[in-house]
Amino acid sequence: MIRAEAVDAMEFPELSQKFRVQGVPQTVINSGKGVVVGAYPEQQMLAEIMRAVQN
Amino acid sequence: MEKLLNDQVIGQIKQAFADLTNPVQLLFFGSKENCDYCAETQQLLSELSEIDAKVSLSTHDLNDDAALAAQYNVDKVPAIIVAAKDGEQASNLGINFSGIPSGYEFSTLINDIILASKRESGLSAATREFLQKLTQPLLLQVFVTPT
Repeated sequence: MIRAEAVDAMEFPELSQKFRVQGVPQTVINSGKGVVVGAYPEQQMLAEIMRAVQN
Repeated sequence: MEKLLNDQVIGQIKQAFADLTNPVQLLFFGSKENCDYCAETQQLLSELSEIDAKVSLSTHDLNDDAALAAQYNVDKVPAIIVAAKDGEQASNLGINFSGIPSGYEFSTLINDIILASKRESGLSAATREFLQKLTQPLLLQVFVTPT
């Protein structure tokens, strides 16, 4: 149900471009439903995930 | 190929792996063509899996083992799946690395192995409660650079 994938942005440039990755870490939620740029604390990351899932 | 992990690094990993409780299986997926870092990644995992008996490694090909790749949602290589191992059976925890885990990402891999071994995510009760109620699949892709 839940998958987490660490993607090397340099090795997979097409995917990085697709999601407009400019800084790392960047977390893309459900292929673009949500995005988090930078390292967020757990609570804030959860809030972004909730928002993305409801979209 | 020359060894990728030196004695000092192996010593540090041994210390970190003292926390391992349950067996973990790493699944490596590569391909014969168009994969710059497959050989290095496979060697890195091979050296890593020799450090502690609780960490085992199986190697697969994205095309030859297409059914297994699909089961673990592997679509690009090199890929590393960190799975729990119960008896002979590997069970999918949904943890995937796409690309060689070099630099800081190597520490992330080590930490993921330890969490997988403890079967413990370290997440808060509130987060777990939300995640348990999910009715749709959730995919988190964290883009990183190996520095």
